[in-house]
Amino acid sequence: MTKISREDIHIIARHSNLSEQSINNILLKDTYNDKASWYKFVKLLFISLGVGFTTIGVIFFFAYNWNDLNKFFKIGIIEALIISVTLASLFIKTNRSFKSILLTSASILVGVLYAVFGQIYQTGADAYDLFLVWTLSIILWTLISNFPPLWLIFITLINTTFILYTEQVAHDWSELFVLNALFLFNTLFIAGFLLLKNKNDSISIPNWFTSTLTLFSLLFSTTAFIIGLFEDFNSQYLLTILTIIIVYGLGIVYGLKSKNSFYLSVTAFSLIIMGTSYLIKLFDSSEMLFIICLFIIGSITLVIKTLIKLQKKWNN
Amino acid sequence: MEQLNNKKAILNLIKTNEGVDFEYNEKGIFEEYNFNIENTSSLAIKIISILGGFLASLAFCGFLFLTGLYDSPIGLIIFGFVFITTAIVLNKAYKQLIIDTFSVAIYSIGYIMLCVGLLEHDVDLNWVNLLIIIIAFIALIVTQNYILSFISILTVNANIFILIVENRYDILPIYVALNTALLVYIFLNEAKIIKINNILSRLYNPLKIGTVIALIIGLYLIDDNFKTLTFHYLTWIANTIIIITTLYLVNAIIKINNIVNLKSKILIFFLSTIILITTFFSSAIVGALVIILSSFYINYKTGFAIGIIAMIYFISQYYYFMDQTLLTKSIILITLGIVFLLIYFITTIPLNEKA
Repeated sequence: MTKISREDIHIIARHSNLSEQSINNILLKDTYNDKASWYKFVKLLFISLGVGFTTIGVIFFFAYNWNDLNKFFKIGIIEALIISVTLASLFIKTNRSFKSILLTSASILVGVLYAVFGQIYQTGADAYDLFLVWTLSIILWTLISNFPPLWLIFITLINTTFILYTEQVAHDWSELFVLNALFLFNTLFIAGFLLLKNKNDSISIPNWFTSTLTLFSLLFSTTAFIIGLFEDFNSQYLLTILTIIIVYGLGIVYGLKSKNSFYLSVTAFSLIIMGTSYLIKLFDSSEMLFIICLFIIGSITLVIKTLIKLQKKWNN
Repeated sequence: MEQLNNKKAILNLIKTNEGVDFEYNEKGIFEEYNFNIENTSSLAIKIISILGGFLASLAFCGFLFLTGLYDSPIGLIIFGFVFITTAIVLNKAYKQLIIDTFSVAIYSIGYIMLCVGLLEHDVDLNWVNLLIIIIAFIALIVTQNYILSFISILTVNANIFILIVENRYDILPIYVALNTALLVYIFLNEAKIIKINNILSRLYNPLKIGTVIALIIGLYLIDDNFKTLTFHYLTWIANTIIIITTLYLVNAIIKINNIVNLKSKILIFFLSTIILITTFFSSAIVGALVIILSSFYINYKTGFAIGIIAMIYFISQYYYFMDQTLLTKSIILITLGIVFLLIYFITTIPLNEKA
């Protein structure tokens, strides 16, 4: 049985004498979430809020300056918490998502443990080595749970560790090199996930996850392009441009093949931003802003026109 | 073709269910379907056309100010009007998706020019705000294009904000609370609103996204600026409105889930009230929760996602809330967390049995 979508009911309501009551009944039956989805959602909401609030509460608790608390006691509490949460995720008989949420909470608590450790032994809470051990400590949990939010935390941690390392240790690495590395690294992750998704139907990777990673990755490439543009030309910049050409090309091919307009539109938008900065570099005058205004409108209209054409083709 | 056949099946289905009294204009329905097939865009397209429009207007304003063209207030006012009117007329006449970026750009540029022109001409800011609210309302009545209407709704909201901030800064929380109530009303009364008239029916989708974004901006502003005012009586009024709204929402959720047992109902209301009262200190978090729940109610995925992102952000902002020590905050959060977990373990089981 075909479900009646919101668009259907809106259009039909505009051109008929369908009563408010009937519209409401159709909406409740076909468009809105039913009892079963509410049940699933409320459960997930309570678990996430419950585990989430408790975990954040623990973070706040240790962020409070406890001068009187003995350091063994401090570290002891967190370790006890980590152990009990992990054991709970292992032994409580419940659904998989609850277990994954518990493991995510444990992974965050590991970070609290290292932060408190850093606080006690004066290494500074943002020392890159603390983030490194944090990242290493949760690799197994990330792999086992295969839970997208935990994967996102894990990947953010790798990025943070790398950025902190370049700030605290590798002072001689150029900004472009760092951005290139971040761009490539995150892109490889996305490519890996997309390949897995296409190869193996049993692995479900939600779209929001790959989309978020893509946005991060494009943020790095776009920034790299703009920074390099205003510096003297060097070999690093050549690498930036080459990787952008290859990765964006692959992204467009993937978008076309998978009929996914997200990859096409974000790639195009990033290119438009790059084009705009190139124009700014080209002519440093106020009239240029007018041309930029026209350039943005023109290019985006062109992108939208192409995307609509593609969508029409895909739909047929 | 297949799509249209599918639509025919849907129409027949409704016809069978509604009986002989059901009258409809088939030609009108299929014309609109055909138009939508050509002009339906994904969320990504909508976002880039809005972003593009804004960036273009930003560049244009830069051009305007660097070249000194803003020196003539009358010129700015006239061009502002011309730009706004062009955007509205163009949308009314063409209705095609591809002009969206262009119309967003000239529409926003028009407002900016008009504002600057009027202010330079020494018109009182309040009058400028009122005038812009009226123009945006007229735009909403004339054209119900998704993106232009969305911007008009934000324009109306932004100008009400400025009016309040300029005149009675302290009632801002009440405005935000009323916005919350408005959002829940709009979301929960879809059938009623789309049946009032065709204009409101076409405005329904932009109205949804517009109120969500306006509410989040409002919550962000009060969350940021009213931390020291927490126990002011106006904040209490605002929080009471939010609590009543949330309970109304909870009631609707109870109805949709067919929970008839009085004991479970009382339990749900009791727990919701407790949670709401403890979250009195951050109406932003409650506001985000309201967005999540009402979006889920009507199966509105964009609002749902925005609500979750806002929720995560507002919780992280709670860290900087100055009125309480980290210890108090930590205790409140842990208590709430445990309450939620208890609700999970206790109530999901009886709820399930009644399913």
